[in-house]
Formats: sequence, C-alpha cells, structure tokens
Amino acid sequence: MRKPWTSTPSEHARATHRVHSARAALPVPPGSHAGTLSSGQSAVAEPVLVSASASGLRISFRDRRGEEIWPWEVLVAAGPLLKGEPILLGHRDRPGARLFIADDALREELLRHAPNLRKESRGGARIWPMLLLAAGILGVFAWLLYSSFSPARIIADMLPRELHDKLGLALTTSMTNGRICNDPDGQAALQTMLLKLSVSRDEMQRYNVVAGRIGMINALTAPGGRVLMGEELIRFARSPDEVAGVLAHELGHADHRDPEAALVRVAGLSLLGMLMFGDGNIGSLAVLLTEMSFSRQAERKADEVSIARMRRAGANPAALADFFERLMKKHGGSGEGGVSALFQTHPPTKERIARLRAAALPSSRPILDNAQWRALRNICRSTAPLTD
Amino acid sequence: MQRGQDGARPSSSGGASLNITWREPSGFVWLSLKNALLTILTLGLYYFWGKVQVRRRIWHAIRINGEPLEYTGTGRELLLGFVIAITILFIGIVAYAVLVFSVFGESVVAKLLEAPLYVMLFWLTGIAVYRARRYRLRRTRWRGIRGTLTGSPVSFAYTWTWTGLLVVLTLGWALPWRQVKLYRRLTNDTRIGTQALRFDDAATAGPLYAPFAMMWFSGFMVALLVFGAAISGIALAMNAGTAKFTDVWVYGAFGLVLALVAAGVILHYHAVKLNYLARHTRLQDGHFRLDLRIGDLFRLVLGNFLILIFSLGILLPVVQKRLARHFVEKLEFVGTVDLDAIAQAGDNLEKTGEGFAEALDIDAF
Repeated sequence: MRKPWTSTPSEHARATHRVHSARAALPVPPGSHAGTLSSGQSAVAEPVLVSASASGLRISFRDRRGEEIWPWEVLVAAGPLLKGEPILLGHRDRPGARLFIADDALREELLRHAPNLRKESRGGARIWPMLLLAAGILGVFAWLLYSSFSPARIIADMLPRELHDKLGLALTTSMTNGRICNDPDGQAALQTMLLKLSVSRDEMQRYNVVAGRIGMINALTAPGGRVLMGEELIRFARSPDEVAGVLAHELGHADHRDPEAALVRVAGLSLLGMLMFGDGNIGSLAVLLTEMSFSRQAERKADEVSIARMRRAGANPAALADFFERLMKKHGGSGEGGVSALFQTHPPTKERIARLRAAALPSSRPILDNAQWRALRNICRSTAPLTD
Repeated sequence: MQRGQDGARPSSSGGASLNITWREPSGFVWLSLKNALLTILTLGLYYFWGKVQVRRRIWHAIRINGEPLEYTGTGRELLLGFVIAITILFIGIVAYAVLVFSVFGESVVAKLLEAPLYVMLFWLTGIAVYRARRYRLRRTRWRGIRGTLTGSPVSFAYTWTWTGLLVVLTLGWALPWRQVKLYRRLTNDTRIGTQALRFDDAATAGPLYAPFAMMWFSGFMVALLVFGAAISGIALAMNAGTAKFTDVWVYGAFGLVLALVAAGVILHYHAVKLNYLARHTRLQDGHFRLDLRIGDLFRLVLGNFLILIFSLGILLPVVQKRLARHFVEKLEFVGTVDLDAIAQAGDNLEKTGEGFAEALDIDAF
C-alpha cells in the first residue's frame, strides 16, 4: 500500500483551518458565489469565491492570496446538475480535484459554455445505440427462429457421444417408468419394420427402437438414435403402414439429430432464465421432454425422410396422413391432455398432410403381414426392465 | 454561515466535526417511469444506466458538512460486470452438470452431488457481497476522496460460507454472532481514502441475543400457529356445510395479527442490531450513532411495501430513496476527525461493476 500523502497542500490546508472561521464569515461580493475547492489529495477543502469569466470559472481563495481559472472545456460534472441544487464539478486534468458551489446561480452559464456539462444535462447515457442494439438482438432472434442455422445443434455436435447415449437412456427410462415391452414376436415384427425402412443392416444398427407404455398416443426420438414407440400409438393405428410412417418420421428426427439440438436449446434457455430472473429450475428430464419441441422445418424434413423410406420399403407413405387426421379428430383439432407435446406445439398442418397425400404410390403392399401386425399390436403382452 | 463554506466547524481539539444531512431530491417518480420505459424498450440494457442515474441522485442527496457525496460508477461498468459474471456462472454450472451427468447418469449419487454446487453458489454470494461493497466504496467520493476495501474477497467468502453453515447447524442461533463477525471484517477492511474505519474490539454479539431470542421464539410460535390454523382450516373445509361466513373474517384477522407480530419482532431485532453496529464503528476519535426506532421502521417498511405493490415495482427508485433518507436522517457522527489525515487511497480501480452481486440478486440500492 502507498504511504499517505504528506505534501505541502496539507500543511497549507492546516493553516487555512486556523484562519477560516474569521474569514469565511465575510460577506460574499455580488457576482461571486461561495464554495470550496478540494485538491483530491486530502479531505481538506479551502473556502473560495467562484465567478464566471470569459474563459471559464474564476476561483479566488478566501483565506489566502491568489486565484485560478478553470477553463470551460476542462469542467466535468461530479453530480447531477439540477435546479435548486448546489453544483459539484471536477477538472478533466486533475483527477480527484473538486469544486463545490453552494448555490445554483451559475448553472445556466455552465450549461451554455461548458461542452461536457451540456452532454451531462441530457441525461448522460446515449439511448440510441442501445435501442439499435436491442433491435439488432431481436433481429438475430427472429433470424435464428426462421433460418436453419442453429447454435444449439453446433453445441450438441460438440458434446461427446456417450453423453447423448446416457441422456437418451435417461429420457426413455423416465418416459416408460423403466419398463419396455418385450413380447418376442412383437419385437421381431418391430425389427422387421425397422429393417425394411433402413437402407441396410448396418444402417439399422444406428438406431435403437423399442416400444413401451407412455400414457399418450405418441412416439418420440431421444438423443443417441433412440426411438420410443408408444404402445398407445400402435393400438390407435389401423394399419402397419401408419405405424411405419410414424417410425420413419422419427428416424428422420434421429438422422437430423433434432432431439440433441432441442435438449441443448431447452437446457440452455431454462438455465439462462434461471440466472436472469432468479428462479425457475433446470428441471428434471421429464420436464425437459415436455418442453422439447422441433421447428416446423424439422418436422417437414422428417416428413420427407418418412416419405423416402416408406417408398423404398414399397409401403404407403400417405398412411401417415390418415393417421394424423384421425389423431387430430380424436383430440378435437387442437391439443388436449394426453396429446403428444410434439403434436401440440406443431400440429400437422394442412400443408404437411397434403404433401404426404401427394406422395402416395399407385400400388403398395403393407409393410408387415397380418401375423406380424397382430404380434406388433400385442407387443406389450410381456414387459421387462429397460436396460442399455 | 459556516456550513457550505469549509463546513467543518473547528472544534476545541482541532479536528472537524462531520454533519451528516439529507437534502430531499426531486423528480424521483418521473425518473422511475423513464427508467422503466427505457429498460423495456432496450430489452433490459438500459437497466444499468438507469440504476446509475438513481444512485447519482441518491448519493448527491447525502451531504456531509453541506457538501454532497458523489457516485462515479457507470452503466457500462455495471453491464460489463453483469455479463462477465453471468457467463462464468453459466459455463461453470453447465460444465459441472454435464460432468456429473456423464459420470453418474441420473442416479442418487448425481442428486447428492448437487449439494456442492449449492455450497459453491453460497460461497460465490460471499465473493459478490465483498466485491459489490468494494466497488461502491471505490465509486463513492466526498471532496474527491474515495473509499475502498483492503482485504481479499476469497478470504471473506470463506468466512461467509463456514459461518453460514454454522447458522444452519445451530437452527439460526449463530446468526447474531455471524452478522457481527462479518460486519467487523467489512468495517475493519474499509478505508476512506487512507483512513481506516474500526469496529470496537470489545463489541461482541452478546447484546443482540435478547432481541434475537424474542425473534426466534416468536418465529417458532408463529410457525406452530400457522400449522395449527392450516389443520383446523382443513377440518373446516371438510365439513364445509357447517362453516359460517364469519370464519373467514376470524381467519383473516388471525393471519393479520400474526403478520404484524412477525414484522414487529423482526424490525425490533434489526433496529437494535444496526444501532449497535453503528455505535461501535469508529473513524479516528469519533464514532457513528444511528437512532432507528421500531415505529418509524414499521411505517417505512409498510409504506415501501405498498408503493412497490401498487406500482408493480416500477417505483423501486422511490423506495430506495426513502430507505436512504431514513438511514441518513437517523445517522450522525459523534466526535471530530482530522481531515488532513484522510488522504487519497492509491489502490487499483477495477474496470467492471458489481457483476456477481447483480447476477445473484443481492443489492440494496
């Protein structure tokens, strides 16, 4: 730490203390204003008289001879310059030095002549750059919302694969209460469906498709290529092609790593919200899941994948449109309790349904035969704990 | 007229007395509305500049020997500090969560490992308290002289954390002891220019225990009564047919009495504590004297509460002004100081504002 100042100003000020009481009581001449000047080196202040001159403020000491001029351009505000308030000024080149004027009579003159004080009287902060920045931030948000550029996807891609796998397992576990359906014939039918929708056996290995009871008519894709087909959905479907259409759609989400990006987005936003507003919680995985939603573009792209895969399998891509329409009718067009979060936030639009219909093949053959379809519908005849 | 000149009335011992006064500022309602509007229009960016405007006016309203205090902080510093703090917190929390999850998954161990994160956040709060106070002292000037804190935020945060854990372990009974301990640390670290504040060595938390016990046992009773009322309320609701309309009034009056009692004992404790701490805070040969009374405090807090509720928080600057006014008007300095001995401090000034304090939401003004 530095040594305290022990220089001449303080000795000088000590002297002013002794004489001060006698001199300060003298009357203030007209045009002058009583105040104090402190050097910024100690808390001692000298009594002064301040008046306006052509080049700046003339400061004359009351307890000793001598005066100094503070030119208009060096004056800076050391407090708000308000009507009826005393004035506190600083000196641009003498940090810490302060001139205190006990009344506001010089205020108008200061605002007229001192350039820095004019700025101060306008409120200090410059609003326009801030408004522009705010508009810019809104613009960036809008752009992120409507373009395919996604920072969340970039971050998701940087995270290790093991993390995605663990998250996928945890999500699937929390949705199924840890139990999946494992009737052997049903599972075989599901794997047959997956194989037919895949390019090759190798590609099929990238996905991990299971069925389970999830309490709503839905299917979902979790990080790490995990697809969970709800038993409720399989029972609601009227043909194997409807189930296959949904599965192919989910495989599309898996291919595009939509769930990975959505998780990063939701986790990031909720954490940001918590930090900014002081509450809210990062939330359990189940909460994350219900808040997870994909953009319209992601849904459209997944539909395209569904169409391509269904065509390759020789099945009917338009079956998915039937399925969507029946599901919407059941739930009265909009979402109600039990409808999947996916369908709720982005219900299949007329446009999506029309696209699916347009993709119908002149002739198609169901993706599963009758025996396989029956087995699939009964896949939950037996259940087992979910393991990795 | 001596005040407004040098202002320091020479006393018999050769030092100057310090006369602390409040000069009521005008235009706070307008300032509040302007800040709220600009904050919304700029998506929150203006918040920091608005805060600086409020502080400048409040500081300016505080006069020592007729000369105002000066606030030299800037919106840019506050914003920068906030952005840095929130980035560090964000990255830290995410990295920790990802690490724990990728090692333990969603298991009991992972849940248990949340605890160190909370301790860490509590520790950061200590850092924030110390740094925020230091920032404000460094940005406060009187006659050009500014203050500072000379200690280490890390060492303060360490004391802050373990004494805080002790308060939990003792069901609150370590609280007065902790508050005096932390206040002593902050006071003894405080410099006004080169001049240190001192908290009396002999002043312990002892005298605070009588009002604290009153507060603690009242709190205990209130908790019991609320529990009892909840139980009987449930019983009431279960045979709803027999419940009369007057019961609602009985419950309402009962709740109001409890709230008044709770507010009374809490304010009493705070008044006793703050008066006590001020009396033992010394600057050179003098010491401070604070004269808070429970009746005044009650009116102040109730008024502030109503203002905040009915203005939806927009008039927060008015509330802050009222708080500052109350404390300044009740505060005086007893004795004299040698102003020559108060020379400018020579330490570094950090370039960013209160960051963590803002991010963790601990802030009086």
